[in-house]
Amino acid sequence: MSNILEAKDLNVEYLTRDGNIKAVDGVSFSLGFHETLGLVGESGCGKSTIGLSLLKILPINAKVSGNIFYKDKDMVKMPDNEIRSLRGKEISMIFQDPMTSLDPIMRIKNQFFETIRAHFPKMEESEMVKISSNVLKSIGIDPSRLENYPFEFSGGMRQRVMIALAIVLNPSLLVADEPTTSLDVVVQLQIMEVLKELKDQKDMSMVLITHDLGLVAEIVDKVGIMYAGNLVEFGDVDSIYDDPLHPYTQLLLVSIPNVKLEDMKLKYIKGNLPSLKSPPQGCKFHPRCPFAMDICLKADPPTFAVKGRKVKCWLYKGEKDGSRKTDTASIG
Amino acid sequence: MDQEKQTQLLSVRNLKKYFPLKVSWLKAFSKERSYVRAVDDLSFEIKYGETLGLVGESGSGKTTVGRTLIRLESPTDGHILFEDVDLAKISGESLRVKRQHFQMIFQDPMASLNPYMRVGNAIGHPLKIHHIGNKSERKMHVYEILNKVGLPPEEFYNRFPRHLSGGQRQRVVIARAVITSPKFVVADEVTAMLDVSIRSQILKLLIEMKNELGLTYLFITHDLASAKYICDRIAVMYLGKIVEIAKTYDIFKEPLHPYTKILMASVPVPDPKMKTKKFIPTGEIPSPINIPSGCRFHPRCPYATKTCSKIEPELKDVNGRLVACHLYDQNGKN
Repeated sequence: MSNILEAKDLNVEYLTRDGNIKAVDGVSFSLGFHETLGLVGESGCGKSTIGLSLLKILPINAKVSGNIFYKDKDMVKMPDNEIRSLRGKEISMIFQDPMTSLDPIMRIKNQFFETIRAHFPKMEESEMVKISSNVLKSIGIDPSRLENYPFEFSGGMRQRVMIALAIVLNPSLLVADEPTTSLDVVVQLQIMEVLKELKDQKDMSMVLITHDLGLVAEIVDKVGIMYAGNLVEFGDVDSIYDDPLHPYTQLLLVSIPNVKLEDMKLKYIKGNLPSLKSPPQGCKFHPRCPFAMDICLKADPPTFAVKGRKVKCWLYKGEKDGSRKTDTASIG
Repeated sequence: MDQEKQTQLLSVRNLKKYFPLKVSWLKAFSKERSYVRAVDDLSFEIKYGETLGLVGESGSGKTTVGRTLIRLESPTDGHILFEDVDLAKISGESLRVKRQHFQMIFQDPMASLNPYMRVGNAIGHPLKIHHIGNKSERKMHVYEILNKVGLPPEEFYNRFPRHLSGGQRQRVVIARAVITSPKFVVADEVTAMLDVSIRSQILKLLIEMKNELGLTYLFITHDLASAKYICDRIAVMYLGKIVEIAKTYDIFKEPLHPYTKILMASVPVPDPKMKTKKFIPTGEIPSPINIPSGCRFHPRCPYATKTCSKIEPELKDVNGRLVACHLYDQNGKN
């Protein structure tokens, strides 16, 4: 068992009245113990769907195929009661919007108790208070605020409470879905600092889902770039930021607004994300790609291993024999 | 329109906006009323064709400034001179007629479009309200503006907002704001809800619209990085006050106020090797009900001295820029 999490050829399809939407299309990645993975992409690229499928909390109209191995057990086939014992205790999640993901009419205290009781029904209340106070303290909130209701907290504080709730039972895997998107820059920095400390102090792996490549640079070990349901590039953080291979990654990196004075020109990716109901033929990125070739219009590129990374782009067809660092299977 | 050669389109003097707190009627007799002091004595000018950035955290009062300027809120005190009319003084029909000259683009494109109104009708609605043109002229005008914002009219005129992506919706909202050819547009956190990759597209569109239609913007944001590309001058706001106001180039070259420095350091850098400890502010913006004594920023300021907790600094000229900080009290002594 070398990896805590391994997804193999994961497909998620939403069945809707006006046709099926393929939100995740043949995604494979792996995450080692005590590692942090950043899943990056625009809205609608399927990154949140992957996050939800890791906890198996997808909407009812979702059809999943492929495998997700968590500590060598396949979660896709796992029965519900077994999953339930994992959720919150082994794998937990921080959601995007702290305003809507806390129960507004429950004291913070009781929200902690609810989580703990789900796994340890016989625990004494004094014990639960002790555990919750310690977690709150570690995240920078005074334990006396356990008695408060969510509306008495500011946005940043609420997100801290969400994080505390997620880590109260010491999970081995934490999935954070856009944890700072609804917060402003200063608070965003504070929350990222909290996550960074968690990563250093606890024995925990993390999946960070975000649309901002700039935000995750300092904290993640591996990066997966998603586009229209595909994982287009996957590799370790330094090489991806130093030398992005996929054209989409390159464009994403230059389009981040920065505060450097010498760089006053606005750069952006032309066009919009394609509809997942009727994706373009061939490579899904070709209508926006500056390097599109004839073959890109016709056939969907397979994933090539280049320089120890995985790239789903025809540009790297010839360079197939790059040194292979990861032992994960290639995507079909 | 008068042909007077004035350069100021908008001039705000001592603008105040206090929201009264609800108190129980028992207490209402004895104590003085308490207020949320959202905007507290603000003065600034915006020239014709200029883009002024208003930057600050949530809760600093920047949205209230925007809403008050276009009179969605009535100011508690102060003057808003728009060309030669004091917007703070007019109301009713005279204000309503004036409204076609100033528009606002709101933060959330999902919430600011009527879900039951087709895109074309939504964009043409301001023309209808101000009785500009007849039906066919209005439709022509909408087609024209849809083209300008990069949405092919044949395809988008009859669509509903739910069929559009976030970026496209924001384009519709921008089209609706500029269709009456306003002189002044308040853009409130236009890019906050959008993905990083779409953000630059929308900023570019705003700049294009400005150049084509000769607009003047108040660009409200919490993200200094996006303000850099579009603003000519930037005003940094903290807890209802402007703490620094300067040309964009100067602010980015050397931020003077400690709060500006913090905002600057908060912009994430896409480089995994930058693992140095950053200048991270502790705590959060205090409540505008109990504003700290002296300098409003002193409880969070790393350079705070005794004076800061006692005397409130005024906006002062430091090397041709305006800063409200005691650090620069003696001729820019640092």
